[in-house]
Amino acid sequence: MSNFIDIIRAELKFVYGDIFRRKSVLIMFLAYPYILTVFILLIGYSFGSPKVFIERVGVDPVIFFITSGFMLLAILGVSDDIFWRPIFEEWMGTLPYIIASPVSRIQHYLAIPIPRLLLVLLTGSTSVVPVLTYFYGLNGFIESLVILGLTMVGAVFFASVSMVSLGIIYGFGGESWRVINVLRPLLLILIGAYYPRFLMPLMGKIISGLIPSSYVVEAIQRMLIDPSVPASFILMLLGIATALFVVYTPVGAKSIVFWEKKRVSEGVKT
Amino acid sequence: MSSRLEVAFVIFRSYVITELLRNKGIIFGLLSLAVWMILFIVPISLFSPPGVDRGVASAYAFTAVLVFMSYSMAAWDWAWVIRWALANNILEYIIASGRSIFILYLGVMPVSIIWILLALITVYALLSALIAPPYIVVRDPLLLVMGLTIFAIVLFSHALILGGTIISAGTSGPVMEFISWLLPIATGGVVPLKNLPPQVQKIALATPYSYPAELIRYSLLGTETVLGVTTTLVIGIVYSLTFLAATLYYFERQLKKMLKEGPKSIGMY
Repeated sequence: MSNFIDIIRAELKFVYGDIFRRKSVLIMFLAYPYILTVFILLIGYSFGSPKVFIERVGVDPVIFFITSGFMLLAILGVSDDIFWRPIFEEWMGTLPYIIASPVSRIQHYLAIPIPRLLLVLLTGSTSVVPVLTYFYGLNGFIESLVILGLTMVGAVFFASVSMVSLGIIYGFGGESWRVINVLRPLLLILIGAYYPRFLMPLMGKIISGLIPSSYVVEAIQRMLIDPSVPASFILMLLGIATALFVVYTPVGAKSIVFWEKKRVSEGVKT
Repeated sequence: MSSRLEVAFVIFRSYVITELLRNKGIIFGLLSLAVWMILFIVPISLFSPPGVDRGVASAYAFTAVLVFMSYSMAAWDWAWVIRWALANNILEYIIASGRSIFILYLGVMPVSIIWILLALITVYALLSALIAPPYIVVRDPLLLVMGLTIFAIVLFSHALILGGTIISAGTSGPVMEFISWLLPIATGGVVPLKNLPPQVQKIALATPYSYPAELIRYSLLGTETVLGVTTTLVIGIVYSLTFLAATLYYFERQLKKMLKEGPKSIGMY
């Protein structure tokens, strides 16, 4: 356990050192949910109407998209941290050192997204919290805190899917970043942050159902649409998400080991 | 002259192989683009009332994507190539060789233009499948050509600002991404200026970015311009050329600064 904490501490230093050195990056993280929301609302309003959106989805588009943008950022933060790290290490020439180090690869990859997740919490407190409080008052404030907590859970659950995908993609070699560039947005569609799962066609629902985070996203969206949604329903969604996470994590661990062995057997490419 | 042509061809060829041909780069690139577009276009369709002309809505989405992708091209191809050269220690070699660092653009620019044309075909096909075929009619071909030319000048100037900032400050990816999102929104690139609040209109008109976007939209969709077509065209030409001169000066200054202080290090993002 102390090893794991050491790795987290090292990751925190690595990420926050960079972020505090470049404060513009920090400002960008805070502004992103608003930018995404304004982008979609401007195009949506220019040829449509918020009333139509409310009739179809059941919630004000401002609330829906600020929450979606935040969830997307949280999950993207995790997936990007995990997906891009091996490429970054390879390009920087530090991958051989990482592979040669005695640190557990599984612990390392579980620790990688934690600093970014803590940062995402800050993003939520400057986006979802003020917007929901503005719309719904104290109830909105409490609901926004629940959303923050659940989003963190959803993002952590996504780490397992990222690890499984990473091991397979990198394990088969080639210019893996090209595949990752297709996989990232595809997973983001399937988690249903921008287009709710319950509106997806059957095939979309089935594939989306294989991703643990999609259930957490659905739980948040159901709460936004109907704050009196039964707690048992939300718990059921979270239960399925947890079960899938528990199933995927050991597979993710094996996947990382597969990638590492493949890299060691091939040797370092320069 | 023949040596320069040879250099231009070698760079162009290497970029085509690296970006488009190697490991099916173009197929993965277009796939990635299509999936990103679906991520943002599908939720926008939730705003569309049943009675609205879907072809017109689709055409607005298409021009928004055209402008947005052009900004991305300027940021991620034309400006980012400098960061890439910096990160891979290539920039120093180019400078030491005595050639202009713009030599890389002989490869980057044609490839990114080929890429954006293919990407727009993909987006057109996607919009046709998901919403309706975009209802686009070229109303004034000459104006469209002029609008696109002014747009190219503005985009190149935009890349010079970003590129100059990269070499002097080591600007990072998120900042570039931020600018790529914010500028098209704030300067009327995504939505016609007349649909924006008056305050935003004023901000947009104070920048050189809004004029070509207005001209392109007018030529393709017949969307009314805020200042009138002739005024928009005249200001657009003058402003874009002034912008280009100013950004060239800025870039040269940053280059000199880098030569004096040495290249800046870069971060993971």
